Amino acid sequence: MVGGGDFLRVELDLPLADTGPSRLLGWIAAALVLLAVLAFAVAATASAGARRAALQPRLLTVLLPVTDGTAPSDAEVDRVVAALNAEPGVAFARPVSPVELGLAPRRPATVEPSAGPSAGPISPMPRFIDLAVNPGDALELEALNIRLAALSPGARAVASEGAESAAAPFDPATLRALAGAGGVAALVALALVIAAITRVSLALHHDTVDLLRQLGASDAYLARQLEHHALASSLRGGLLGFLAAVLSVLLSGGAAQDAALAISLTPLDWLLLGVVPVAAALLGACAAGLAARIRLWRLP
Amino acid sequence: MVELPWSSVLNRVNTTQQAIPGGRVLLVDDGITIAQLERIGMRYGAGAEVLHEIDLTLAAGSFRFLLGPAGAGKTSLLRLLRLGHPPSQGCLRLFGRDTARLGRDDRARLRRRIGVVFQDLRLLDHLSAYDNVALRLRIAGLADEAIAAEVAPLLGWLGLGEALEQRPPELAPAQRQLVAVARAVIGGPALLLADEPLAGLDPAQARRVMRLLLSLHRRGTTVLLATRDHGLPQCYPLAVIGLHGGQLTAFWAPRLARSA
Repeated sequence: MVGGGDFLRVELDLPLADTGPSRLLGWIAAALVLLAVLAFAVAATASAGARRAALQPRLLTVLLPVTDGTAPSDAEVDRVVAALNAEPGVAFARPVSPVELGLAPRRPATVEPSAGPSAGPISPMPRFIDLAVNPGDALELEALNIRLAALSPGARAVASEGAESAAAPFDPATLRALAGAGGVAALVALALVIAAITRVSLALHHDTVDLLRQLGASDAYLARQLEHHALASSLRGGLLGFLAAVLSVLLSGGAAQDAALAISLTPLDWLLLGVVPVAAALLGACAAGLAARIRLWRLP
Repeated sequence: MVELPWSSVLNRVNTTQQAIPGGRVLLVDDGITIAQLERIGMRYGAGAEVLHEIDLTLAAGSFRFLLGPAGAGKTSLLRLLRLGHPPSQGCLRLFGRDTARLGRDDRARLRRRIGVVFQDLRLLDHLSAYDNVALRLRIAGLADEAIAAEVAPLLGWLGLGEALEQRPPELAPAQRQLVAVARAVIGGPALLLADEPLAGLDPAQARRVMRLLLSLHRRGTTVLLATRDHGLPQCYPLAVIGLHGGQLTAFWAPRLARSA
């Protein structure tokens, strides 16, 4: 039990474990550590997604349009492909055949008997070139388009944005920032709650605090009592919250329909997330100690 | 009995060391002033003064009864001496230090040298009898082994050997009183302030507690025992300070009383 068990129980001069606000401390820590761990797990997943995206080549499409009713010739296409492959930062450039695009020109059956099987396409078709840019390299699209137009009138490169947006429903960097901020906010909230509970506890146990001071207890001695209590309670609660978060992540992995929406973590991520309840407990102890010292300082 | 200005008489202290269960030897040179009150006044909040113009010196190793009826100001005077309330006027020096100029840590350090039997006992209900007594030593920073070596024998000597693990609500009133006395004397404080320490005790227990306090006194602890029992000073030939209406009224020293 977070509130009443003996795990990590410390013997204190102040009866902190017997009062309502202090008993709640463990449960509050469990809830906030659960939120923090889940937020950091989402941030870690988003961060991994952003890293994967950064490592993949950026895809562009170069369009060679029909000009004056004439389709670009194969020689023209080859010239553009060769020029693109010579561009710095280009991983590869290759022509896309009309068949790949499903645009193979066909003559209507009603025309073929009179035109004959050797007749050319009814209408000229534009040509396309796949262009992959190395990860981390950037292409100046406008400058490239000027060079392309010199090789083939009207030729221009366009980003394949449709494919990118289909792959990732959220911007990984934004998601990482939001989730990380959420995790930090949960930990800050825990520190604030512990500070408030410490103040309430000191007020509730005013007589005991006064007695201990009469027996010679310094502010530091009393503050240490509250620190120990906050540390033990938030560590108990934090470990419970961490276990709940692990279960949630595992269950979400199984239930997610879309792989892009599932939280996926590496062993290192899990290790770092395991630090969260410990960090929360230390943060809670610091908050309790500081709040206690400030409160005690105001006593005569 | 001869009424004399209190400050003109000082007991001579016998610092003979005697075995006291669980106690530590504390020797204080005779003649050193433990507490000095000069024209002290005290009031709670905006209320009327409960102590007026108190001039009092407690020499090291002295034993004084503070005698007065209920409401005379005995508890307030002890509260002042244990640094539980500041004087509204006058100067209070403890162990040679002006208490008005003490920092927080110095104040805590001085309090550690003072043992207090509170009139309302003020035991902590969530701690066992053993832990209540051990509290002063724990605050003083003693190790668990050293604490155990002092607490258990003292409680055993007071007849509480079977009640070490019992909490105050489970103890009889007299046992609670004994625990409060034990907490005050453990470790041999330099100054012991006892507010009605014999209240609720049967005669045998009261004699035992007095024996304990006298033994502590013989080791050099300065004792101020507040009581409204006029019979008590008659049983023990020790100096008496009279207090009435918040003012010192008399000082009786047994040696001088005999000569009178």
